[in-house]
Amino acid sequence: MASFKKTQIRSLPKIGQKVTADTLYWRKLNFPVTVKEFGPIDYIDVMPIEPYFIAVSSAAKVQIYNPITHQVHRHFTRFKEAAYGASIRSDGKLVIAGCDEGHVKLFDIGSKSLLRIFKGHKGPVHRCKFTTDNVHVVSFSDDKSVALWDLPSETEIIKFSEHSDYVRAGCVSSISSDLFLSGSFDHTVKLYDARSPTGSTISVDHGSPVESVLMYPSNSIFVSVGGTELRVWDMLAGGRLLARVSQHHKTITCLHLASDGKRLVTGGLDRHAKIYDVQSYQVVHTLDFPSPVLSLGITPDDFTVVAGMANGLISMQHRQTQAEARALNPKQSLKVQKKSQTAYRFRLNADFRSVNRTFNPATDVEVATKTDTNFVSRYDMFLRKFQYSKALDTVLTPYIRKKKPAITVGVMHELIRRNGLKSALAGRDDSSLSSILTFLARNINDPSHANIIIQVANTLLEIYESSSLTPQSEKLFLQLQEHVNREVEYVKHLMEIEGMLHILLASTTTQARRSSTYVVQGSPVKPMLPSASAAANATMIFNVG
Amino acid sequence: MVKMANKKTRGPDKTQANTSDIVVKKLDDATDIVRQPPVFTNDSKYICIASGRQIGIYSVESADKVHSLEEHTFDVIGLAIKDDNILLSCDASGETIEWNINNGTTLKKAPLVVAGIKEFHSFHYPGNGKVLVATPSTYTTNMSSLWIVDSHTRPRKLFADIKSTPHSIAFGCNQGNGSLVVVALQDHSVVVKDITNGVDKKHMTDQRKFTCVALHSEKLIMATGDISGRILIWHDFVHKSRPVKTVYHWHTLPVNSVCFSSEGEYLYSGGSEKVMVKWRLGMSRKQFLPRMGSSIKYIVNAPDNICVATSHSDNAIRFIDSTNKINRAIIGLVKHDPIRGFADTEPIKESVMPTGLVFDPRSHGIFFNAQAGFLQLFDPQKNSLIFNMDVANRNVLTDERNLVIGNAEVLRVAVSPTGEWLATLEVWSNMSAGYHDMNLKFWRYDAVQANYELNTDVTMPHQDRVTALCFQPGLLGTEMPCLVSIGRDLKFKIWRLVDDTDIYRQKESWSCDVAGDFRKLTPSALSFSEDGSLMAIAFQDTVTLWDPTSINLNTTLSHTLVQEPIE
Repeated sequence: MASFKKTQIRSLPKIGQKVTADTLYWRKLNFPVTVKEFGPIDYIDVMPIEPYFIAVSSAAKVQIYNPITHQVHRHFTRFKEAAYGASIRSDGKLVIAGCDEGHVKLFDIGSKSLLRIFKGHKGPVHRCKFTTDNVHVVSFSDDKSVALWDLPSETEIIKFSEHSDYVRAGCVSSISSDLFLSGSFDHTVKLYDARSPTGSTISVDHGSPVESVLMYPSNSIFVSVGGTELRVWDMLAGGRLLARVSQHHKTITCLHLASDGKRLVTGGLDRHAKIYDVQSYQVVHTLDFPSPVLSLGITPDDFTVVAGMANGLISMQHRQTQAEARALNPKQSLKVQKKSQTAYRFRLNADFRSVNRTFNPATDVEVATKTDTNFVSRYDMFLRKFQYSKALDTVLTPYIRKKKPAITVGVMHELIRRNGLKSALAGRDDSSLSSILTFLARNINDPSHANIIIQVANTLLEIYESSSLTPQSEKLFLQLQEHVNREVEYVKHLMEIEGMLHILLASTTTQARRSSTYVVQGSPVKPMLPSASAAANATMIFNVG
Repeated sequence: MVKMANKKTRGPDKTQANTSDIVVKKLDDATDIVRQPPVFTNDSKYICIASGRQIGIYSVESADKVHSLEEHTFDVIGLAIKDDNILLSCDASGETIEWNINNGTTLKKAPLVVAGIKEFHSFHYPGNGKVLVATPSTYTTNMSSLWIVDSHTRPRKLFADIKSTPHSIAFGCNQGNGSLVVVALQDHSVVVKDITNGVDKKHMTDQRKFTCVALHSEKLIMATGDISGRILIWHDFVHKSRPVKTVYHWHTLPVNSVCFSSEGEYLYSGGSEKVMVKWRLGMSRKQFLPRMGSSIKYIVNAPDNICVATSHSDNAIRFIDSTNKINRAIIGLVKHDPIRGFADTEPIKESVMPTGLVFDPRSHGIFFNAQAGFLQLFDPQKNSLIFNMDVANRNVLTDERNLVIGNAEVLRVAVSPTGEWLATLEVWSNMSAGYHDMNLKFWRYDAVQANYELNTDVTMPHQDRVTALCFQPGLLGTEMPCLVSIGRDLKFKIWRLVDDTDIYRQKESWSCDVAGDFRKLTPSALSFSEDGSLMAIAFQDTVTLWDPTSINLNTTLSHTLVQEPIE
C-alpha cells in the first residue's frame, strides 16, 4: 500500500554558530591578498562606479588600487606630512584628501595633477567629502570646525565651529547636497544644513568620542560609532535614539554599508568586523583580521572587501567566482553542473517493441523531463531488501562516517529497531571491524548519539567477546575502552561542578520557596544527559577483553 | 455522545468478546468488515461483505455501498452466491436468507435444521441445493464438525474435529465424474471426502500445523498453507494415498490465506508479512505486493479474474487490479492490534487502546489508536473516519518467525482546548534489547491544508515512560499554550510554545520550561481546574496543587488511610 519510508536521520541542532544564509554568503570570501604600507591605514574609500578603484590613505600618500590586480593604479605623494581621508568623487574622476598641514587637496585621477588646494583650516583635516552635486567639498578638521567649499572657485562658503573637540568623522547626504553630518571627539554628532548658516539642525550625544558616522541612503536614519557602541538615530524625529548595539569589545573605528544597503559592517580595534542586519541590528556574521581594523571598504557589488589595519596591512578579499569554486572543489561543482544540465530520459513505449513498424519518435519515445525526486539512498535500498550487513557497510564508508555520522547512527538505530543489529555486526573481517570500532570510539562521547552507540558497542562486545581477535582489532577495542574511561572521568568532574551549583541554587531557592519543594527552573531538556551515558558506559566496559 | 461512541468503538475489540458464549453480542452497527471473507457476485460487479448482523453490497468499481441488508438477528457466519442474482447468507443461529442482489430485497428465509444444534460456525454453499455447515464439536472445544445439509435427505456429518476458521474448509468438483469433493483441515492433517463416490482420505505431512486450504475450481488440485509459511500444492489427492506435492515456500510467518485465480493459473497467498504473493503455478515465478498496511486475513478472487480483494486485520478490504496495484479500498474503523512485547505489569487497557478516547473540540471527533504508529480521528455523529494520521512515520515492521519485532506505538494523545495543537507520545520499546525510544511530537492544525503539521519533535522527553499529557485549559488566545507531562522518571515537565523567530524565518517551537519533582515520588495522575488556574498532580497517595504560571506549590492533600497510588 504505502511506499517505503526513508530511514529517519536525526540530526540535532548544533550548539554554537548557526549556519545561515549570511554566514554562507560571507564565507565565500577568498583568502585575503595583503599589501604592506608604511603607516597605519587611516581611510579607505571605494569608487562608487566600475572599476571600483580603492583609494587608500596612509602615511604621507594616497594610493589608488585596482581591486582585481591588487596593483597600485595611481599614487599621490604631494603631502608634506600625513595624508588623511582620501575620498573619490561619484564620477570617479577626482580624488580629495586632507592632510596634517590643514589643507584639503584635490587631484585628478586621470592626469595625477593637483587641481585645487583649499586652505583655511588651522588643524589637520582628517575627513573630507564631495557633496552629491559634485561641485562642493565638505571638510572636517581638528580645529573643531566643519567647512563647506566651492570646488570651481576654491573658496570657503560656510564654516561651522560648534564642536568643542577634534572632528574626526563626517559624511554627506546622498540625496541633498546641503546636508552633512559631523562626529567629534566631544561625543556629539551634528547635522548641518548649508541653507541655514546659523548652526547645526540636530545635535545628539553619542556618549563617547565618535569615530565614524554614516547616513542611510534613505536619509531618515544615521548611525554613529565610537567607543564600543553603535548608535542608530532617527533623523526625522529630531535625533531620537533608535538602537544601541554593543558587539565589539574594543573601540569601533569604521562603518560601511554592504549588500545594497541591507547589511551594516563595523570594524574595530578588537580585530573583528561585524556584519549587522539593518532591520534588527543583529550580528549575522563576523569577519576576523590579524590586526586592529582602522578602515573598511566594500565594493557596491560585495565582490571585494578591503580592510586597512593599524600595522599598515591592507587586506583585500574577493568573493569566490564560479570558476574558482570549481577549481577548489571539482567533485561538488561537477554535481552542480550535472544538475544544471537538463536531464532527459528516454524510454521506448512498450507496444513499439512488440509490433514491427516504423519508428516514430514523436509517439514512441517518452521523455521524462522532471528529475526523480523520490531518490532512494543505498542504505534504504538494502534495508528494504533486509540486507542488514550491506546497509551498515554503505554507511561506514569514510566519507559518511566522518562527515555525516548522523546517517550512520540513523541506520544503526533502524537496525536496532528491526532487531537486525546482531546479524549486521556479526561475521565481519578485520578491516570492516576496525572501521566500526573507530567510528564508535569517535562518537561515543557525543551525547545526542550516545544511547545508540552504546547499544551498538554492547552488541559488538557480546559478539566478539569470545572470538580471537587480531592484534589490530584488539588495540581498537582497548582504544574504545580508553575513550569511555576518559568520558567517565570527564562526566564525574562535570557532576562535581553540578553538585556545587545545586548547593548554590538550593540555598537561593530555599529563601524564596518553601523547603518542601525543589524546583529547577528553566533547565532545558536534553535528549540524553551525560550522567546517564556515563553510567551506561561504566557498566559496559567491564566486558572488554 | 462520547459515551455512545465509546460503546461503538469498543465493539470490534475481539479481546472482550467471548466466542463460546451462546448469546451473540448485540451491536448497533458493528463495523468489523473482515470477520468473514467477502464474496464477489458472478458478474464481478459487486462484492458482498458481512459485518456483524449486516451484509453490505459494495460496488467493485467505486467501492461505495449499494445496499445494506439488515434482516439477520445474529452475526452472519457465511455468504454465498446461489444464482446470478441471488445471495445466500447464514447467521450463527442457522437462519438462511436469500437476497436479491440487484434491489436488496429478501426472497426467502429458511432455518437450517441439524440435529438440534443451535449454534453454527461457518457456512459454505457448493451448489445444487447442498449446504455445508460447521457446528461446534461435541467433545473438543474450539473444533467443529462439518455437516452436509440437503433439502431431500437428512443432514449427514462429514467430518468431526476440524478447525473452525472459515478457510479451513474447501470444496471443489472432481472433473472426472462430476462428484463433489470436500476437504477440511485438522491440526496436522487434511481430510478429504468425495461425496458421491464415498471416498475418504486423510493426508498427513509433518508436525507443522495447517492454517488454510483452497481447491482449484477446475482441476483436482489443493493448496494448503501452514504455520511455517510453507504452501503445499497437492495433486490427485482423492485417489492416491501418497499424492504428489509441490512446495512453495516464501512466507516466514503462518500463511493466513491461499486462493486460486478463477482460471487456475495463479495462486495468491498472504499472511502477517503484509505481502501478497502471486505464484504462477508450475513455474518458479512469483510477484509480490509488499507493504499492504496490515496482515492479510483473506484473499478472494473475482470470477472475471481482473480483481482480487484482500481483507486485512486493520478492518479494510483492498482491491488489487490486474497490474498488481491497489486501486481501491473499503475502510472501516481501523482496529488497533494489541501491543506485543510490553512488560507484563502493564494493565490490559494499555495494550489494547493506550491512548483511550480523546475528544477533539475542533472537529467534535474522537482521537484514538489506529494501526501501530497511527492515530485516527473518528466522527461519532456521522459514524465516519475523518482521517488516519501517520504519527511515527516509520515503516511498519513485521515479526520474524521466532522474534517479536515491536513497532512504534502512540501511547498518549492530548489536544489543546482550542484544538489547534495536538501532542502525541510515541514509544518504541524492546524489552529484550533493553532499549527504548520515546518521542513527544507537537502538531499544529493547518486550516488551509486541513491537516496537522509537525511542529516540534522531542526525543526522550522523559528518561522513563510518560504516564500522562495534559494541555492547560482556559487560556485566552493571547497567551502561549502550555502542556504538562508526567513520567516515571519522577518528574513533571511543563512545555511551552516559544517564539523562535529570527531575521531569516518565522518560527515557533515547543520547549521545556520547567522540570520539577516532589519528594522523589512517582507522579501518577494529572489534572487542571476548568479555568486552568490550578494544576493538580497526584504523587502516589498525595495530591499536590500547583499554580501553573509561577510553579508554586499551593497545597498538598493526602489521606492517612489511603495508601494506594491515585490514578
